[in-house]
Amino acid sequence: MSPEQTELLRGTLDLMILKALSQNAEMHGLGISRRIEQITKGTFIVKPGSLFPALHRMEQSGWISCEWGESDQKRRAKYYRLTKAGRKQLGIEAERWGRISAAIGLVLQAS
Amino acid sequence: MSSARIRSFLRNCFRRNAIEHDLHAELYAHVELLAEQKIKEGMSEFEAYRAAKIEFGGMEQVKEQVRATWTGAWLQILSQDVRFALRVLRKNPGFLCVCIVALAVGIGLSTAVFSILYAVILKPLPFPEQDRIVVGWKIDPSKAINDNTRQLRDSQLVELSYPDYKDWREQSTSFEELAVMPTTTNGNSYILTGQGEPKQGRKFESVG
Repeated sequence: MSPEQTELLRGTLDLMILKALSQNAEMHGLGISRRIEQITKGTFIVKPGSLFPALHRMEQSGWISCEWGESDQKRRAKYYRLTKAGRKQLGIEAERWGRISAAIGLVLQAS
Repeated sequence: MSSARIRSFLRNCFRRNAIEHDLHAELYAHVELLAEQKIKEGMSEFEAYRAAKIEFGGMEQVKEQVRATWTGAWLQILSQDVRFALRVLRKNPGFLCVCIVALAVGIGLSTAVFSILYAVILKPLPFPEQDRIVVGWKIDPSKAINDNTRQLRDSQLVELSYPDYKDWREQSTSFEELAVMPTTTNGNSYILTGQGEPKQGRKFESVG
């Protein structure tokens, strides 16, 4: 996998996680993963192998924070929520993604 | 480095066990949540856990991937490598000895060679304004230059005799000061007159 491709995929995953968290106050890992699957109608299935590294990386960057809580079924789980920096980052990432997708759209429309 | 990053770096360094435990609990909770959903979908508990574990994938691989994202992961990896290296060396004392001897000889030799090189070639002479010091020679006319290069050869150079030196000293105006020094290239060619020890004229008092 070329570096550009990894970069794009990682950026996309971050964006989707940030967006999912922005719509809900707090979610655990499985919730985020299910939410992304549901919004994208199953196009993206985020496996734990990519989800958790992304969550931990973003937590270290200060974009999300986490704390232990209880699920509806009284199960302990780690809940993630968006921080102020994360909300800002979501704006940056969304804008960047908009530019990329618009540019690719232009390329595809060219005749 | 942002403050969030510094905080997590310190936490990763000093609260290693706590965050390892936390990571394990987090991933395990994920499996349990997965299993719970499957039970709700109608699986037996055993089947649900099995399916959840399969869906989750390798627990250790995921942990390893998460650890790699932790700030300061390189420090952890480095210390693991160092510990591994020490363990391997302890198991192979022969190899360790060869390594140490090779390093000692290598370092020792290069230090020695450099010390000699420095003393002989690199170390400047202990005089100020060295660009103003020149060495004067006489040319032996009997060993005339017989090729076209006109380059002087060592064999054509002759040291001054003491009377020559005295003449140069009294008559030349190009130099602030003249002195003689014994050399080993062409042997010593003092003119011996009268009695007693050979005279060496003024030694290097002029520049000292």
